[in-house]
Amino acid sequence: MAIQEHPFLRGLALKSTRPTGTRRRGQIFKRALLPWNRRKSVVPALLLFPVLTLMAASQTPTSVQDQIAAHERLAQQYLRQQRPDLAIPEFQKLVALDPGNIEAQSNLGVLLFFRGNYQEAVPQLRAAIDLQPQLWKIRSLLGLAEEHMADLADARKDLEASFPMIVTRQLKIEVGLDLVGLYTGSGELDKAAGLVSQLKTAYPDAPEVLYAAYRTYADLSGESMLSLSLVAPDSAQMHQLLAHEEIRQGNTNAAVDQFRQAIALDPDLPGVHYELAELLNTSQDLVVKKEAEQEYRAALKSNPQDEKSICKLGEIALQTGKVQEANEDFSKAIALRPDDSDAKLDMAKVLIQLNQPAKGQELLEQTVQLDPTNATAHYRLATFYREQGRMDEAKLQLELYQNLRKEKDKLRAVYKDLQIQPSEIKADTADEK
Amino acid sequence: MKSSGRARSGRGLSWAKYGAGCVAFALLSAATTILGQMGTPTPLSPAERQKAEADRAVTGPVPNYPQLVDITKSTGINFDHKSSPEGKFIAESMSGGVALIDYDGDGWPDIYFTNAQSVEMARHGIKARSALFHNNHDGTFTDVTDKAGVGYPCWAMGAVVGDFNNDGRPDLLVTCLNGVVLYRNNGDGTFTDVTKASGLSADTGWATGAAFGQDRTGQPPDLFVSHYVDFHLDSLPAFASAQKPCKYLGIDVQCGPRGLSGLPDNLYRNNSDGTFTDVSKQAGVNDLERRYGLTAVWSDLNNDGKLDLFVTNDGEANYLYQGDGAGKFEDVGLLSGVAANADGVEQANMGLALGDFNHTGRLSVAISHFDVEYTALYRNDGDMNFTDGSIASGIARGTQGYVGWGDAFVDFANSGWQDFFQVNGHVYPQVDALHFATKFKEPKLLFLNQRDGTFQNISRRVGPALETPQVSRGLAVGDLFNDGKMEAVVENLVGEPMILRPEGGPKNHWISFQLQGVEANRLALNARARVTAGDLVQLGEVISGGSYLSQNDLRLHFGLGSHAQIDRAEVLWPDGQKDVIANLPADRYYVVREGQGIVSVSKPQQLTNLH
Repeated sequence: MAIQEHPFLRGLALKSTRPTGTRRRGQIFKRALLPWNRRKSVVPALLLFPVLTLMAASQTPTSVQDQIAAHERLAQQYLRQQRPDLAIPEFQKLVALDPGNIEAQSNLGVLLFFRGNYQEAVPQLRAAIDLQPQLWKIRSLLGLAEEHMADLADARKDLEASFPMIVTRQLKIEVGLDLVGLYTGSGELDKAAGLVSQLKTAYPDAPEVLYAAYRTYADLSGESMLSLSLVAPDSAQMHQLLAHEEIRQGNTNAAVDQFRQAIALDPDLPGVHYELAELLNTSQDLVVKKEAEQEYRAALKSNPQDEKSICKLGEIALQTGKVQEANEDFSKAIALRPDDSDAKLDMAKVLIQLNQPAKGQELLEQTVQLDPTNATAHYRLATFYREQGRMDEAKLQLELYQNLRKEKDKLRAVYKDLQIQPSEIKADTADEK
Repeated sequence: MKSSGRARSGRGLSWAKYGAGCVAFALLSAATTILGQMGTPTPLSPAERQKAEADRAVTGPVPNYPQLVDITKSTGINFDHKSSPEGKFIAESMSGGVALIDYDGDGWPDIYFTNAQSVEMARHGIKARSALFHNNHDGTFTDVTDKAGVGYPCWAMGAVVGDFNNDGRPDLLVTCLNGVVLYRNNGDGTFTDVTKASGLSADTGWATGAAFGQDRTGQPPDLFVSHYVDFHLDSLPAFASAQKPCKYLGIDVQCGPRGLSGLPDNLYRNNSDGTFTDVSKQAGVNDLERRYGLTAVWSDLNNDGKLDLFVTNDGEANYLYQGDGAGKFEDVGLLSGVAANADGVEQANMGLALGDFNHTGRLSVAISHFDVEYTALYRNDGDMNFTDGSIASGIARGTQGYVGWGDAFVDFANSGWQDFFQVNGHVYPQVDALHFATKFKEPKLLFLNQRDGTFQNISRRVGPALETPQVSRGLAVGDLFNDGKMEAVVENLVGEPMILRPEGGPKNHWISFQLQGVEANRLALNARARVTAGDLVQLGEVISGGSYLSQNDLRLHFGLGSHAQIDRAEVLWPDGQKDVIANLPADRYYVVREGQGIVSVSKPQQLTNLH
């Protein structure tokens, strides 16, 4: 019998566990893409459908065997004709005649699922799983169907079981995001965050994953903020949190004030000195910059291994003309974190000032290896190559620099749009009220 | 939720909107939050700023240096540049080029001031009058605009000089909000508007910088015109629009150039019959990215005998087009190091000065920028390699905090070493409402060449004139009174110009050359003179355009210090010919004609009407 493939089940090797007497048809299915909107009927997806040969049921009466064979033929024919509406009844009859037929159960369940008939799909899919629990794709489909049927407990169980076993990208994302939704719905934001983080790592270019991550982290952030405000409204951590909220709103002075209050309550609060220093360091006022330096030193006193603070002190030393001091600071920073590309770039600038261009160039080359997105490093490296007459290499670095700048310009445009959006969102909210 | 209840502190600093740790927005530079402002913040180190303060704190005159005196009143020049006090639109901020042009060929530079109306004036059909002042040879000037017929070219931006029809008489090209106007010098004190006849009426965009240059060996000079923003009076960007970047330190200001569409530049080939053909695309200078073009100059920057073209772009990478001598160009701006600063950050790029300030035989480049930046000094290292020496030279620390426009390398003291002079003025009248040090009117800056690659800020030590705050734009330098001293003509956006004359100081020697071509380039544009006097070896080039949309005296002036004569003057003509003249007495004006040597010598004038 000709083999046709269901795109969803492609790649799935179905092995019949039915008792002897039933012919097994093992088929290899190629990978498939799950339709984006699984609620819709996906007739085009059913153009090809896996039809398996059945093992002969040696103990089945001949008339039944003939019937089974006939229904199989018809099912296959209807699928070739893209008539799942006709194929379904054939599979239903097939399953009625041969309840141990995993393939038929699975195929029927899949067809019903993609027709949006979740109520009928669930028992079929479940039956297939009962017969062979390692049908992970089928199980994932079962979980999705159960979710549609609001059987959240079973849905969760099946999705959790199948998720780790699925390798197909789109299905993995779909199942994963559904699980994230279930966790979020039940208030388990930590679990949701953990899972979405996994998805983000595996699929960093999937917009639906990135959006889900944004929402999950935002929800978690909001929940944490609420919890903290209930649990410890006057704590140092609360002030630290408020400082970040002020930063988001662009209220610099208020943010500084909150950080200071946090420090007053707990001078050893982890990270607070560094965060305050970062804020102060963006000022051009010399007095404020001096305060920033003091805060970096306080951070370092709290944690002598704080590589970021060491780097910042190095930057300050460089700016104040204390090149040797900067040299020491950046050397320390790089020793602590050899993978810090920013430290290496700054160290390169120091070495250039110390008239050690060769070493500076070496560090720049390491910087771009560590962080290929550092446009400044590429530009500076191009300068070196140009001075050495290595024009092809200089051109390559400039090309990389230009591409990065273009990306930055795109981001800038997005950022500009986001600047405008808040008032639009507020306007929409007002309308809704 | 506890709230600080504090008001917003303003948006002058780069606070990431979505949290300091947000990687995506960490990729953005600080300029993204200073929407609308020209310039990218490039803060100087506290050490540099302290040095700048120390420079400014030094008082007392500079030894062996003249004072720069404001002689405007005594010249009789009465010119008023129109302006809008509110400065709501970018078109009201960018004009003010000034040209020195010896239009009547009497050997005395005359002055042409451009003028521009405000949007409000334009709406009422009121035009602003540009003006031509004839040099009376006695320290005064006379307004001859009406007779010359050059009073109302357009909403003028700048002016440059060239001889498009090669009749030996300098013509005037005015750049405008809506194209260019070409005035042909009739030789009788009048000009004729030949824009249409020349084919240049096809240029209708906002033209800013322009320059004539003989980029094709043996052919007449072509004309390059840079264009700025696509600006139309019938569709003005709304003041302080939320849709466009229109804020500066939290206050509402005019929009642009960021957020507005740019316009491409144009190269017009001189057809040798009084007409021009647009060859921008085939030449490779058609500016596909439509950057906001400002000042442009032609020069052979790598000394390969082929003319190159430098174009400054506002807030974007500069173009340095390397020429092949046959009219084709390749942009090597990034590769050469002049497109941006040392970290690859693009800057505001307004005024453009060329000069061999360090006597290497190569012309280095100085570009004025916005106040959050500093004037960039790109040292020409040869072979199309430039090094950003802004900080090391001391120029950076003296210029940050000012919005720089016209600039020039000029030897006011005739020491043989060119100093650096820059005129300034803010863009936004609204800054006066902020209680910051930044003001709309700004002083001028002068940097003394220390002869070791560095400059010393002597702005406050050469008399009170430089400290008079104004909203300056154009700058042209030249020997106005034929007495061997270089004056500076400053056109201000608001009100009257300022003319500065060096007085006092040592009686150093000097020499001046007026170069004349004989074939296709009678004004000898881009011809060079290399003058040797003892250990002094200086290079000068006849350049059309430059500074900020302005035109310097086309004569080449060299200070000679104590040298009473020069050992040798080598004149390098654009077509590759060279004339060498030896042992010339100093303190003279020499007219040198290609292939013929000196054809005329004159002595300096003794004017008594200057005070």
